[in-house]
Amino acid sequence: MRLLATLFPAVLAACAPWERIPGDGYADLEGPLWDPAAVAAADGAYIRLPAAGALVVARPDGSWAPVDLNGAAPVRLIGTPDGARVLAVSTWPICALDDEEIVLVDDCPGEELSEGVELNVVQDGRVVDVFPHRGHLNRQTFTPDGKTLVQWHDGSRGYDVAQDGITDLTEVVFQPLDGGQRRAVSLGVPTQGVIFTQDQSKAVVLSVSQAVLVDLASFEIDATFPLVTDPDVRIAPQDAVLSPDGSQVIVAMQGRPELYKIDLTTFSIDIEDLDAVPADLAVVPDADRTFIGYDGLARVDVLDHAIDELTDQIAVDDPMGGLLVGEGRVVGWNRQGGSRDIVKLDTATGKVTEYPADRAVTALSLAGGGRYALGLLGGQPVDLAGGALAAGGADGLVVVDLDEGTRATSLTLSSAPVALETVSDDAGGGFALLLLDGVESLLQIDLATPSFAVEVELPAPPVRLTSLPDGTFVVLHDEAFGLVSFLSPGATEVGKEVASGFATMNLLSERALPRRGED
Amino acid sequence: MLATLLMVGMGQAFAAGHELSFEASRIGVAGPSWDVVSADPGYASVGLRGVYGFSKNLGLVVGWQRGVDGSDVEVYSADGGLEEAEFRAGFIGNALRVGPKAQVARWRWVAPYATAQASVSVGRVSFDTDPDRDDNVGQVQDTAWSFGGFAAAGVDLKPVKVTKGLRLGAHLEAGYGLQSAYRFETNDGAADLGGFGMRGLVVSGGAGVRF
Repeated sequence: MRLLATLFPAVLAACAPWERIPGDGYADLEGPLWDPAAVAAADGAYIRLPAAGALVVARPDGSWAPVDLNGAAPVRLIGTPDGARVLAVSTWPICALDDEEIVLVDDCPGEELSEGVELNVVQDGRVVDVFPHRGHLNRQTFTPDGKTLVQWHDGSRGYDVAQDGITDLTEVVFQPLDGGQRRAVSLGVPTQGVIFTQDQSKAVVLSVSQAVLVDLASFEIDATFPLVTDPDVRIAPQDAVLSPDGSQVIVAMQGRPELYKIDLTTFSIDIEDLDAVPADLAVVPDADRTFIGYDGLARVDVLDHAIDELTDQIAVDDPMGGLLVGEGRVVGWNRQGGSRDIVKLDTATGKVTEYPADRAVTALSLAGGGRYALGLLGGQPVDLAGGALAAGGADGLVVVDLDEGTRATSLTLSSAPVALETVSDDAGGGFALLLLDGVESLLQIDLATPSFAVEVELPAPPVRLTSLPDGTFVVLHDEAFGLVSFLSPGATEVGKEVASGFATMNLLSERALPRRGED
Repeated sequence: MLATLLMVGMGQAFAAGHELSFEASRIGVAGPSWDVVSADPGYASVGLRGVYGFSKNLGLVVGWQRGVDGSDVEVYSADGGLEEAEFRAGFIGNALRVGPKAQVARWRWVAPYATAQASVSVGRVSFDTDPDRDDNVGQVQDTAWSFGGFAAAGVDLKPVKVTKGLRLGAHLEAGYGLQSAYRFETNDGAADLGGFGMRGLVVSGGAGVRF
């Protein structure tokens, strides 16, 4: 009895029924609370919180902090090439009624509510600059020095923000990130892509049926190159590269067995007939050559820029529609998934080395400074560009040491890869981190010894991978309130410090109208 | 119970003294953010009320109230698509109330009174993706303080004699309450969670002993 009298309060205290929260009610929230598509920068991973209309940065020490966007909500994040900054396309609500009683966004009648849009430049967790932005600009690139953001509208994508009034969907906007005037050039036709001359003084804007040379000092159009003689014919660029000496832009067109050579010095176009529609172009500056791969032709052609002629036709067993450039080599693969071969072309000698995997290669990338080729095997093609992959049935991984390896190392995976991220070290080595569908741990692969993959246990199932500029892996987990962990390459377990709970920010807040009274 | 006491207590006389009662109370909550933690638009609590009688008409009320609310929350994608997450949101509040109570009349069955009480409350809000586990990662909670008070008019029902010097009594009151908003923060204080404040009609009732 005495024992019972002692135990009962203890058990009661341990269970603490008075601390239990009942699920008596039901509520729903418009989400998502957070977007795992984080953008990595030097200080951490920047993450959008769509429900809260906020931006946070999760740092490797496990801390996190909100980024003050002055009441704006980020709708898209863009990392700068140097990894130092993150650009946030952001919107904020504007109420046309100047009424002191209107405090919250919900207080403003819907017909009086509109959105402002801007581009916030974020560095080290705070906004360092703000630029005007237009909601239709949904594609971007950077000048080679990374100092100017170049944006245009891609008709195949939706708007970031609904646009009011008149919008020029054919403009290309140049926004210097370190100060300087924002300039826009209207081209009259939709832009397909932009490449830059070596001295960064000019941009070549590739559009449907035309290319335009823009002077980046005056933002005047230096020259317009019509790509067709019949205006009723529309052709669209598929791939373009700048010749090593910067004098030519080499353009492959969708569905056309031709190569357009746009001469930027003589303002002329030379069309080279090919035996098939080119699928990929790879320019190798050291060799002063451009390699041309095809989806429908088992051959790689070589354009020698010294003589401006197609010189070599390199026969391969299967079409090599995907080309990657490494030091002294071009690596080809069949991007349609119809070949087991990974092909190394020596750009100096023209020697062809084939590395057959045990199944069809569906995606390929280079890692470790170009020393390793890393591919997915089997199933349907999936994107290997990092981040989330569509689970397309691929269930194998292949690693090739292009420097010293004599064969491909093919690995069988227990399920389809969902995400793959690679980092390189200074010594020319590299690590790959692989997330498999339905598996709550990660596989870390030292590319030098790919057969000995290490399983990394995680605090929660992962959904996405990325990496910081210093090579630290960032793992984003399937956790409602947000969870980010960090993994040093080669480490067998994630750091104990994890950033979590950030997605509950403002969960009990009503959104106030920001910037009232500002001009 | 109140009805029983009313029936049994008919004919008994009021008398000045002390009181200890079980009390239930309800107050409105300002702000739609309360919807996340409760389906009830008001905040209900239970507790104890003690009255120390200084004289026939004046006493000091000291009360403690505790309320627990919770909801299962489903998060949907912005386009009205699939459910993306689910968690339980909850709130536990404890409030201490202190203030005078003055009887303004003594009628045959009821004794009307007025009271004004200051309150200090501590509230804990919690979000948990797996309420059945204590060690899951998805737990966020914070505690915050709130200050306020309420003024109410009420009636004491005629008490029923149990023994010499001990009687059973009941009370019912209604008024207006106002509390400062709880301001909660995320786990490590990195950002605001937001909050809510209690505000509006207060209705309380209870029964207990008079001595």
